[in-house]
Amino acid sequence: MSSTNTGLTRAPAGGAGKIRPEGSTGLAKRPRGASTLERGKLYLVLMGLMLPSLIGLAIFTYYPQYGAIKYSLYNWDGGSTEEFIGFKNFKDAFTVDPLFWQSFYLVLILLAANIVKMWPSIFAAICLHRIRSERWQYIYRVLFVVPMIIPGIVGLLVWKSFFDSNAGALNAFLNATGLMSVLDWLDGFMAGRDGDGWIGLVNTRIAGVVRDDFQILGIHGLWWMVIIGVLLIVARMVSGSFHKNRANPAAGYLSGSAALMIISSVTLALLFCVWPTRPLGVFEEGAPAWLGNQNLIIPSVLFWGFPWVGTVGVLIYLAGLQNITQDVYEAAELDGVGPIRKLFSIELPLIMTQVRINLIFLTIGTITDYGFFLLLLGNEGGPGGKGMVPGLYMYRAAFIEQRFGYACALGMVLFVILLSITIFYQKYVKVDK
Amino acid sequence: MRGIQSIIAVASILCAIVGARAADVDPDLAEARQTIADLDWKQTLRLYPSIRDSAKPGSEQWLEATYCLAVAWHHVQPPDSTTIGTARQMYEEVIQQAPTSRWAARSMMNLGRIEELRDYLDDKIDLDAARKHYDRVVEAFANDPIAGEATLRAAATLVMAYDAPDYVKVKQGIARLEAWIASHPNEPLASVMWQYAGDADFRPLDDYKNALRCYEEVDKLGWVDKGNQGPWYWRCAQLAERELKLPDVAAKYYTKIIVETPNSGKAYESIQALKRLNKPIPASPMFDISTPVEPSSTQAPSTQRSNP
Amino acid sequence: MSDSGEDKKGRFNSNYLGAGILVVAFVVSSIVATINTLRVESPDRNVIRIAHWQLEQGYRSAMQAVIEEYQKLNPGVEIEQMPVTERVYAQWLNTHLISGTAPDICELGFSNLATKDEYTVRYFLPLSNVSSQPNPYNADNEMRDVPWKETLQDGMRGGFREGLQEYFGVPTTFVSMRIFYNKKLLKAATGSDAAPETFGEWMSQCQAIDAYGKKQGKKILPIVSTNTVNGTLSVPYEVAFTANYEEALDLDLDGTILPLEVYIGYRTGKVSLDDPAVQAYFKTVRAVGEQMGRGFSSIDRQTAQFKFVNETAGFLWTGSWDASGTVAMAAEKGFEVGVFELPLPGPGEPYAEFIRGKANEASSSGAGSYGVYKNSKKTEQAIDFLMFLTSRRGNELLNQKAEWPTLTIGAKSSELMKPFQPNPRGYNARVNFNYGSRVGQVFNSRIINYYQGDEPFSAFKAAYEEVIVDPRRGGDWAWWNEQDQRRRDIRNKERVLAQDTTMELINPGSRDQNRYRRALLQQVTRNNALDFYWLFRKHRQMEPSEAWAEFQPVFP
Repeated sequence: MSSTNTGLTRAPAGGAGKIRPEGSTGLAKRPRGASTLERGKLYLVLMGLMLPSLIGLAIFTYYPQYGAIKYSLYNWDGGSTEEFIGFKNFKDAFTVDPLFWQSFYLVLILLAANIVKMWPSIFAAICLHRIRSERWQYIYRVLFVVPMIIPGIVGLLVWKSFFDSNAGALNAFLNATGLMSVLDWLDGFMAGRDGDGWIGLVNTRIAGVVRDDFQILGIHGLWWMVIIGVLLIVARMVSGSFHKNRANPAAGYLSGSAALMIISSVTLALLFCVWPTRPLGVFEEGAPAWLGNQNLIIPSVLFWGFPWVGTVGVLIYLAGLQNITQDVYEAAELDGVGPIRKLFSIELPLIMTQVRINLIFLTIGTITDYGFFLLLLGNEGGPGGKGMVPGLYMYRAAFIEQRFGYACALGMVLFVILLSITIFYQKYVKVDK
Repeated sequence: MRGIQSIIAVASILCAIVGARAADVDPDLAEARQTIADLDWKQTLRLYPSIRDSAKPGSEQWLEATYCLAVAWHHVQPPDSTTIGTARQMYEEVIQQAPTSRWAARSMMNLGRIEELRDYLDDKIDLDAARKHYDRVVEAFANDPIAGEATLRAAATLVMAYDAPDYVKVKQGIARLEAWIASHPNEPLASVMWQYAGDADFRPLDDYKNALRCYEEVDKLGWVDKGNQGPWYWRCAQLAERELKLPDVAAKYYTKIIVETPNSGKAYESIQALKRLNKPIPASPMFDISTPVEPSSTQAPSTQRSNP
Repeated sequence: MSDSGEDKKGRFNSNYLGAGILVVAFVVSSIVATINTLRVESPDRNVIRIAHWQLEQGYRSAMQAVIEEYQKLNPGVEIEQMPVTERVYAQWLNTHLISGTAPDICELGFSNLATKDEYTVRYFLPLSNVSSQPNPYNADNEMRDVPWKETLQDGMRGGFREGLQEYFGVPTTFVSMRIFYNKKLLKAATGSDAAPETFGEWMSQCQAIDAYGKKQGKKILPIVSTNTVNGTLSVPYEVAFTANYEEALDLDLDGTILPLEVYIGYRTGKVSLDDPAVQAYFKTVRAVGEQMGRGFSSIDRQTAQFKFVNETAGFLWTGSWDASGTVAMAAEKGFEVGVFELPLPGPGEPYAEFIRGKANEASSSGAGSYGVYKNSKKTEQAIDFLMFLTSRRGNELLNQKAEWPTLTIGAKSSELMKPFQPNPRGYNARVNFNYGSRVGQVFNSRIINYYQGDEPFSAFKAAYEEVIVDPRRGGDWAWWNEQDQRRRDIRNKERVLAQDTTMELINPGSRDQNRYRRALLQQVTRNNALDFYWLFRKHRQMEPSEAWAEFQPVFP
């Protein structure tokens, strides 16, 4: 049977990662030349099968990218006038275009929010994974997949109507439950209606961290956030290497999943700063325009998709969880490990690869997305330009200013930023073995 | 017998191929020419070289091919010093091979344009050099219609100097145009020249009298952008009414706006202006605006600034 | 093993089902495609295909009526309508244009190949020559000797390509915006269903509707808009209040005030946000905004229309394209729709003293523009059909049935469309402080806060005054950007001239002299956009090299 099977199989441990034809050990009996020829033929067939995909990839993925790189060096209006200007577009982006960098304000908030918003998906996946009945697990999996067939635009419109100030479900719910009055009270209390509320003052200080006017030691609040982030990473690296040297390597999990949770909590606190520092007075009438008021846009965007159980995310985490072998659970049960400990000792540490993948997807989506904001708020980013993100700014450069070359350069800058973040994730978000 | 048939078949195929090649010359040329009509310069650069290579230097076909290649190099995107340099060299070749041909005249004009426009980063604009090329055309092709176009271009290189405060060169440019029109009463570009001179008199010289005089000449000859001359009519009317106090001339242009360019957006205001000037209001062929609605306010409009 | 193999022999292998369906589908598609191709290309038949994306039932049947009328006049000619949804129109048209199978007549839009100059010239037929000839289908009226383009109210501007100095399309209709109102609701709230004469009356009606809603326990918005308020709705007021600035700000005396001229006026103190007329304009639009509810900017087109037809809004600001649908939906809901133009403050009302008059719509460009495919084998017939479509009779038939405004001079519109015909009475100059995209981003996003009542005018003013003087994004930046665009534009047009002169050399006498003269005049006037440099020196009282050093502009 094995001698006739030309299928592929993964080599056992020792040759991990190498792919070779099954039954290749039997070829030892054959002349060396024949083996090489056969292998050559096989590889030729494989290459041939890959060729259409490679050609498609080259034409539809890499060629447009090449175009973007090329045109980033041109003064190009999207028509046939192209003028080579070297790195001038990049120079402009870094020196004479403050708005581009200001558009990262919202992206930083959204990226931070992603760290918080990915937890519901993780917990949902764990719940699914723990369902004992295979039939029910299957049904829930299907239920999670069903929303994927709904076009994105429909989801967008549904959410938009949800936020509608007059006929939206959100305001109806808030009014029916009395939560609107709570929001109105919070509006004054949180923001310090008289300017002296202590929460308002604290909030003002936190908010100042990401506001333009806030500086400590001459360094902008946004850069302080970056510095704090870098310090956290360094701390993570140091604690990781420290734990590795200890007798009990299992203790290292604290530096992975627990660190992620700590970062999430800190982020949640920082996200608090999107709450306005002055009373809005929009809740009094019971019909706040969530997407029409400049102070409510960011909170609405953050709330968008609540309870943030993303279909793709859940399925990815679930795949990771299903890779955990049963003997790990059995060993844990023998040790008397409870469900909470299982979560932190086994499941979370072992799905860090999936967390990384999701983080990469979320980061790419957050930094490059503009369609959502364009459809929702228009090309100016809505009232006060609060919904301006780099992708939308790039869109404006191309389609409003007719500076396609410059837009390509902005795209390249975004690409480099994304690549750096992805490398960072690859290096530091990984499974603690 | 079978062998003979095969030989005949092969021979006839060969003949057909050779024949087709001979007959292909025209289709090739037609295809190459089509690329010019399609503004497809990359295809021009692909198709014309073989035509040029197969033609005798200096022949009509060679001139066409070389000129078209030069034009393609001149306009293929993205331009750089190499593409523009190649174009320049090919234009010079055309001029060298047939200095009195129409191809040479147009090559000289295009060389002027290369000097006049910025084609790529760091390309310098050299208006004097451009003017020399145009003057060459005026001199060498004095009796050809292209001389008028060269004069217009040369005058533009002077006007473009915008040499404030005395605007000596601008005035020279305008004078050159007027002198040319005076000496060439049948100049086909006279209307364009008058309009350009009028524009230059208007700005930067602020010489409204001469500007209106030039526009009046254009009006006699016919406007270049027929159907879209509304803004110029409005300018003439405003210059005449506001600056030069010539109500009859102003009324003439207001009337023209109503009759000839009612879709310029100024027909209603022209009716009001004619009323203001106590002039007859013509019927408009396009809009029934003979009974305009008066502004809602009966008071005089105001834009007065408020005190801070 | 062998048993199971025998079992399988006897059973139907479902794997073949999919393949079978695929093969059948392929064969059927091939047959249909071949039949259609043969049918269209048959030498015995003269078929002209016209493609468009107007899928509204009314439009398609209207076009069909025109086609039938045309076929009666031209026996032997068959016109086939090809409606394609606008979502895929671009891809569909691109594929056909490139593969040489495009319809003879295509509506111009969506696709780059039908909108960008460098492609349009490749795929569509220039129409300048024919547009200067009389339209034979107007032989029965007074326009029999009038050039085709001049028989259209917009002078065929809707089909003109500035960059190519050439007509490539023939527009067929107009679009305009009006206020729709619910007569039943207005009568219930005010006792009368008459449209307001003045702005003050309109605002009173809005307040009455609001009060009526509260009395009924319903949230009724007095006004909703399908379009951005800081755009189509504000422009008529901008004209009404600021047209008087024309004399002070229109430097080139072309009858309009360009954003650049407003900027120059702003920097030289000729106009300011504090001017009473300007203040009156902003306050008037704010008054409209107040009737639209806080956060109205989040109400999109569909929601606005939905609210209106569901009687939760009294007035709807929208365009002619929504008219027939809105009226039909309102009829289903049992109310009648009235239409009126945006009213201005009347005598005795606040700010009336600043009003010059209404904004005119005479300079609007036509819409629904059709081009003729260059590789069509029946270009003459295609042009002939377009002539019929835009003749008085054809245009009347098309637009009356489609319930769209007519474009051809003298073509009568339907009763519903009468209020939508462009109003030529009024002014067109206006002061728009929005100069350049970066200023625009701040201006538009902040002014809406004021219109919505979320910020005082002073907050908007402070933001505007900060950005407009910023060299990296303000007026000077916009000026530099505009001159850069103009410079590139001129370099672009140089190609059109090169094409013209080369074709003339190859085939003497082939050149369209008018087009050439037009392009030539534009070239010499705007060479290198140096006129912009001169303007800058003169009005900003400084060298561009000082202000624009960061942008590396071209200096002669």
